Amino acid sequence: MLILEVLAVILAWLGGAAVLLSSGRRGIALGIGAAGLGLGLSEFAAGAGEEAILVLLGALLAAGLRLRDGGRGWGTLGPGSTPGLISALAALLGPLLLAVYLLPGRAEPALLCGMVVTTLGAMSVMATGERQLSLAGAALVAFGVGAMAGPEAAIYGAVGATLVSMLPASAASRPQP
Amino acid sequence: MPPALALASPAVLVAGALAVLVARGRIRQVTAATAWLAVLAGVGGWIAEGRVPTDLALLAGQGAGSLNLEMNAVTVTFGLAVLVPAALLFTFQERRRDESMLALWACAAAITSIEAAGIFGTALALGAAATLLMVMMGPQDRVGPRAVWGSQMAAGLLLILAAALLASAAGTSIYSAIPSGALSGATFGLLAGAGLLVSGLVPGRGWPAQVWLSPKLAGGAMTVAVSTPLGLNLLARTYSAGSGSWPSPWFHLTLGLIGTATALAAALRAQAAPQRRICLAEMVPLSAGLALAAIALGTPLGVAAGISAVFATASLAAVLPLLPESNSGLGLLGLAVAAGAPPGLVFGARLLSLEAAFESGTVPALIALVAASAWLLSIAALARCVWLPATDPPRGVPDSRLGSAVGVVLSVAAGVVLGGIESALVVPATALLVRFPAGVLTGGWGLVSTASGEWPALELALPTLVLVALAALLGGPRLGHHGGDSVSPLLGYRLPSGVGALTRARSRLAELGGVFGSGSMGAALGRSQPWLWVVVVVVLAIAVTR
Amino acid sequence: MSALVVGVTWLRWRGHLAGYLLAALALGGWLAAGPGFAVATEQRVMLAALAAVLLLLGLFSPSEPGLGEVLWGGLLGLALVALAVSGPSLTWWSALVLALAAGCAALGADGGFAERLRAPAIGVVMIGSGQMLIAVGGNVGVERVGALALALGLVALAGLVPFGSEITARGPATPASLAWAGFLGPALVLGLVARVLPHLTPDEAEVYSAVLIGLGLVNLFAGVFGAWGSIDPSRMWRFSFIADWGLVLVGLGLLSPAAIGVGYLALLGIVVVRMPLYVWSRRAIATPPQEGLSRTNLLVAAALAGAAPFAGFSVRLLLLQAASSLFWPLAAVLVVAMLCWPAHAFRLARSLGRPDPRTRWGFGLVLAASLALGVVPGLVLSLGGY
Repeated sequence: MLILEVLAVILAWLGGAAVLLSSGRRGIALGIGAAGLGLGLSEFAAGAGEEAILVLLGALLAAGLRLRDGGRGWGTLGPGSTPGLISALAALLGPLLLAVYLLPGRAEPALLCGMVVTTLGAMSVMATGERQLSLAGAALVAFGVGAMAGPEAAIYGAVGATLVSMLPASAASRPQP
Repeated sequence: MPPALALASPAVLVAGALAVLVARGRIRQVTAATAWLAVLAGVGGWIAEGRVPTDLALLAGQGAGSLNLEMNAVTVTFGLAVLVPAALLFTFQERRRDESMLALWACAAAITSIEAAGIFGTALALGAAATLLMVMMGPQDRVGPRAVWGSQMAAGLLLILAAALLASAAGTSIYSAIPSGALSGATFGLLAGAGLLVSGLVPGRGWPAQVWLSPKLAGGAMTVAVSTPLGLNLLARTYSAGSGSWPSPWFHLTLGLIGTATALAAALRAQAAPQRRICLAEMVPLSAGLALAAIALGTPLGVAAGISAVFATASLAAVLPLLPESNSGLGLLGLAVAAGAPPGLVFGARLLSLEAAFESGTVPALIALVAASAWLLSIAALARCVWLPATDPPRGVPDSRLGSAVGVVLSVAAGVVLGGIESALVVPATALLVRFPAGVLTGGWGLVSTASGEWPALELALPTLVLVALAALLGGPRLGHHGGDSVSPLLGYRLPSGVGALTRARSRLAELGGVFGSGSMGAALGRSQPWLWVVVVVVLAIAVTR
Repeated sequence: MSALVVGVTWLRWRGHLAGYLLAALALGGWLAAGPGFAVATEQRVMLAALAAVLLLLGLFSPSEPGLGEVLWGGLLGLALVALAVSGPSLTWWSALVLALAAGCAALGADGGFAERLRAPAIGVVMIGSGQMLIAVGGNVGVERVGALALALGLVALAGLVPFGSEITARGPATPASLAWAGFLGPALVLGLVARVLPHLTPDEAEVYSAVLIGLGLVNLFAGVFGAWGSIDPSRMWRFSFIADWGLVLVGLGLLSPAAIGVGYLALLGIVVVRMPLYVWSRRAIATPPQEGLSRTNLLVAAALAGAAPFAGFSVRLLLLQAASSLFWPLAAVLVVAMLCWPAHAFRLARSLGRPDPRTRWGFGLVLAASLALGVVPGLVLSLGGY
């Protein structure tokens, strides 16, 4: 179970960081999927199996929707990614420190995953001026806020992320089949 | 009799406005009939109630928004001070249909403000009256209506702050229910400030003089006639709120000085006016200032004299707009009555006020000397006014000789029967505000009697009548023959306009607004800068965890 | 009911929003049947007000390109707001708020989607974080920070200072630029407050209250002076919304039931009075300004200035009463801002131009609504359960 929890946190962080550091639709979709997978795993490790499945489904759906349009390819770790990398690291360390020092014994892995994903989503929303990344960040925020509030609430987060992901990445584009 | 009779006057006015809406022609007649009917309804309702105070809870259960009305000698007295001049103006001035409706509704709101039993109701109705008057005047004039509306808005805010403070401190903002000693200095200051703003009682050139110079005199005259007594009503009712007294003697001195300064400044501006209408525009603020000085005395005779002076102010608000711009006998008589020639109401009220001041003590007597000099200056101003060039006739408002004749006759008659008015209205009203021992002020028809003495109103009229008759027979100077330049003012003096100072303050505040509006600080605050958000959150987090 | 509305909206709209709407339909249909969905009394009134405003705009707005899209968007937004506020938890609310915010941000035809989405998204982050910190708790400092986050989240959600997007002079702004602050935001904020307040401890409530009141005053003064100093009518309108929201925040921050009632009343005023007038001003702003104000414009100026007997007056009265019972200097500060408020009201009224006969009826109805809010606020408060 501990391995599962650690894996969940790592996946959630990697997924969120991928979103933050990508400009292509594939990188973003992968990031959302990975983050959702991490959150689902953390729910599963906490014993909420049904909720975990629903969160995973939501993550897959959101990732799939993000694959419709936006920048082509991966666009991950492009030039000028160093500040983003540092931010991503901070987004892991910050919640960890919070969990260890300020919430000792009360921060479940699912909560930690939620905090990490929320922080990365917030960074994406704040730092970007692009619609695609902003939408992806909002989806991460939805996932993360849901996960922070508990297993049942995580489903609502997944619903919100799916709804947000349905919006196209550009104002003029139409959804690709 | 049901307490709903308190609604009689406002109801008649509102119904009359609807009648004006559907009337086919004869707008002025319908409006005038409505106004006089409202006068009768108000007085009749009070008499039908047996002249005892009654209360009516309107809009009950609204919490702070409840509106309670009361009908008593004070409300009837001040109601007459609003309605009678308004009725005269409705009768003898032409107005369009929409202007008439708005003016009637404004009168209804003004009466409701007077009859409101609590400060909230006063503020609500006062604001409504101000808004309606502003809309009535607005399209033709940009400056005047906004000046008066701005003053009334500010007054309304001061009133609701006062009501809020009283409600939290004393549990109520009903004038007569406020416990003795609960009216603090700060709250009194708010009420008094509101009263000053409503009536435009400032030493500078306030809104009453400004709206008189509107392109259409009818609108400005109605605004002055309706609004000026409302502020004085507020100031008088502070005695009710304070259970018969003000929180500190210094307030008597301060407001007395403000009233006297207002009167003196108005007199100085009047005697230096370059045109006839500008001179006449200062007469109402002058009279209102003297009324305030009398009310501020705080003695029973002083308050009674102040209420009489409110009637005098109301008479000026009605008569002056109707005066012909010629030096016929009627015009001269009107100017004489406005100047305070006996036996007019203006004369009687001012004499009573001076008498009350001299009886009050040394300091009030000294202030009364200044007030008396203001009166004398006003006489000089009106005498000079005879030679001033006429202003351009107000568009759409022809001189009404009949109206001015009726107004002058009513003013003179009221002066003759001042003693009766005192006994029937003023004394009962004053007794509700302050303790009123018997014998302080009595009178009959043609005689006014105080502790200091009495004067016969009718006999004092004789010299005035002789002078006016002589002037009419010999012929007054032709207007425009002597330009304003050839008639120098008694004192070359200019006070800063209150509005000018307000405009400068407003410009400075607008500059401050430009710091936000032009984008510099506003952009910095609102430019979606994430770093700023993080800083705000971190700083606040540190603050709340200490 | 909401799901039905969403479905009807889908029939009207096509294209790239089809998937969005379909999902919302399915979601609404499923969840509406679920347990834990209930609409609070004050929310019913607010939703009814939103529906009434849409009807008003539909019936009395002059015909112009894009109006239909605006109205259908408003209908969809209304349905989703109803779903959001009736949901079983704060997280459900947050999820739908994010979706709504994204949809609203997408309505603007110009660039700046990311900018428009930023504040509501960060608001949701802070609300979620605050909720988490309070729930996990265990430490007074942590709980206080949680309460701080909730308050800041509320302010960010509404797009207010210091979280708002830049107010630029860009000519007639799209309705989307103020749809959040003037239409959707009021209902969402009411829903948030109802969920948050009952769970705050006294310590947390103190922090929450202080932050809301402080930022309320900031927004009030920024809005009043910003509107006063603005030349461009669009900027002036946006600052006027900020000023109104300042009063709302102060009311919500005072925490007593009476004060929250005032906040609710002020939010109704924004929705029913200010928002329709703003939408009608957009067309007039594009045409050359006319000299002079008609009587209708003057009445509108009085209503926007908060003069008696209109809605703003009762808000001011009740807010001052609530503030003075807590801390009278706060009331004095509020009065200073209120005294400066009317300065921009006439220019706002002038920006409405001379309405055509049909829109004049709309003006009349808006003024009547404002009158009702001003004269019988107790009735409106009792309808909302206050």
